[in-house]
Amino acid sequence: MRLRVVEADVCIIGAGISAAMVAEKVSERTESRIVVVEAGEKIFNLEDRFEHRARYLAYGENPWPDDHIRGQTAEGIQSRSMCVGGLALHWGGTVPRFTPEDFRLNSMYGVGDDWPFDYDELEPFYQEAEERIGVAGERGPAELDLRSEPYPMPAAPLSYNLLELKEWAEKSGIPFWANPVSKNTVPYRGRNVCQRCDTCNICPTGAKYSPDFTFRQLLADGRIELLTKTLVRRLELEADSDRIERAVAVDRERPGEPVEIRAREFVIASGYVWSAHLLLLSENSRFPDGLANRSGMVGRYLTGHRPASAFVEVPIKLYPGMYSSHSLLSKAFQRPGTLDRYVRHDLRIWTSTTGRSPRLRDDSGRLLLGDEVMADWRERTNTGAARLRAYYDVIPDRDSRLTLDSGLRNQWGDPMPKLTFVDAPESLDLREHTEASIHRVFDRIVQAGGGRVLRQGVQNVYDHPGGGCRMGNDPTTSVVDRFGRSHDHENLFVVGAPTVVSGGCANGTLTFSAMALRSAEVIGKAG
Amino acid sequence: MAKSDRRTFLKRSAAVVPAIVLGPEAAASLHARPQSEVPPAASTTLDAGLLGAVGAAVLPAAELGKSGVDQAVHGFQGWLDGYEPVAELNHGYFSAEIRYTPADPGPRWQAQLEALDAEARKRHEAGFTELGPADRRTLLARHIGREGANGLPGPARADHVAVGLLAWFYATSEANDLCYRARIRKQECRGLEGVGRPPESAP
Repeated sequence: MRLRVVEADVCIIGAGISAAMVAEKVSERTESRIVVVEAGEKIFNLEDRFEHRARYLAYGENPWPDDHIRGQTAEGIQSRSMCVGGLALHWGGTVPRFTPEDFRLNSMYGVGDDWPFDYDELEPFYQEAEERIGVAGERGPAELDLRSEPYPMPAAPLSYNLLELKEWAEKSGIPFWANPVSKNTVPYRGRNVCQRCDTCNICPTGAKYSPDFTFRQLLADGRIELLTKTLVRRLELEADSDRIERAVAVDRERPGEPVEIRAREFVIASGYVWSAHLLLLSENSRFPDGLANRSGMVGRYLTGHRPASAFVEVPIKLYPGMYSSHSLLSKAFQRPGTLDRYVRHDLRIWTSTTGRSPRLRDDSGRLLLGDEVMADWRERTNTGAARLRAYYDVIPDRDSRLTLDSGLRNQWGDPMPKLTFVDAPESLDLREHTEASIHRVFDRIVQAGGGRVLRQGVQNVYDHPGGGCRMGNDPTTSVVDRFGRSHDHENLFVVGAPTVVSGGCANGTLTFSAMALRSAEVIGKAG
Repeated sequence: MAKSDRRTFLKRSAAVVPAIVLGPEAAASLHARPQSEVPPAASTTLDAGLLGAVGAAVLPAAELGKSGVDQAVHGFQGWLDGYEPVAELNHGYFSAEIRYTPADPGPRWQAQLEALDAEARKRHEAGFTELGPADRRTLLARHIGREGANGLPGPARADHVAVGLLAWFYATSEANDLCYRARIRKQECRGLEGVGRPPESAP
């Protein structure tokens, strides 16, 4: 067996959006040799995307072929994407910021835990993330939408449908504005302008940001080395210290030739599943419960937010399909001020086709054929429909947790993770109150604007999951410090989603990216 | 046309639109894709006459006219030509499960067309294509049974060929525009200009 050794100053494990942010920034600020190690494939396929999109639209086929690894999965995992670009290849590109309350839940409302920094400290990194990614947005009312500088690009324009829905919804007194998106409204960093193709999970023009663009540029400039199809199986310590010496990996194409990556600093950027998983896999005699885990917190406090939705008939003629991926946003309930009882959530509105799709049978069950199908469909489109959705934050329990499942192993014999998401007792106590409050907001909008709720409900999922390597000032209750540096290993960082304290009540990717950029301030500076 | 040739033709046809947007160089790279990368496709060519007769009975013929019905039927056969059984389906959030397209529906659909024709001959002493629209619909209703009780399925999951044709047609941008009598052009890459105005009407 021939051992292949790769030497670097900074080894980044994973190649999703947080890795892209760190790799780009560290390569700009230092002379470090950076190696990015990704278990999955490199899918640099802009030239093929129209073809993949056509197959996706016609047949529902995966527009990102080979974006996952067979056998590298487990119970509780919510997405299989594992490739250069990660989940942010097929993401929708929604990039709201959290609000100051998200970082001070305990101080302000007596629930959950505070983060080790506040909004003001993260604000410059939000701006930096928006500029690196390329965000198009408009500022909402200043008291609801805190920011120090304008968005890098003008907002994606509201469609006729959204302009009508904004007028309808604002009769409730709740302000709405264009949802910020990582889609170009002007040419930006060499990428195209959004063409309104409305298949953002496969953007055929490259107007939507995805991390492959960053990695492509970094490779073209010779600023990083990228190892793909290389699965890091464990991290190992230097002989007489708690510093990480090497990452031990397998080249999936040449499994007989082990790979070692030796570096001064290691950055785990492997998302909410594989970051904690790697630390747990890396147990040794000095760290029998896994690396970075003297606190016993690795894998714990998995978090996210839960979506409550209402589908509503509105007394307006709408034209579904004009720009279906775009939406309205309000932060009115993310910044509620003083509360008798805690409840916070975001609020979005989309055009919907609920109750307005072609069908084969009428309400009585009679089969429709020929011109009857079109006539029936057309008659039901005289009024429009909207989807209202609120994410509310779930306070994570200590036992909301990723563990190793010895009963399920991948082809190299490594136990796969098992994820169990658990609401903290205080969150369980709040659940009924929270969901009732959200439904009252939906009712308020409908009563003011007109129409009726067709159906509403709550999906019992944790959207935009994070956690597992929680950030904090206290080494006994957290895995990494306020910059993502492991409390136990001075040359080990965890960045992005795994490090969040709680999941907030808005899409998390911009926050994960901003946190990764904040970590990048101190990465690559050693030695 | 051999099945792999037909598949290649369809894939290359799909590249015509990208060529306009990406420019000739990128389009050339699409056309240069090696044959070995083209996966096997379904191969059933449905009886054109019988499928056309089904189309005239189930599609909105009064609005589409004969040429519109013919175009829709042709489009559906084109869709079937490009169909790939057991292709990996899109996987998004909330599910780790990898799912695949169902088996080729073509042979089943062809058998159903033949059964419609055979039953027409037994009941009416005339082939299905020779029946009037009302008789065709009566016969089709019997064959469709309870399918469609929960809305139109994805075309490949349609049990009956008539439901497959309807599912395919009603998912098109053309059907959407016809319903709304407006040029919405859903899922076409249309640019951002004019998005704030109502779509042009299409009487």
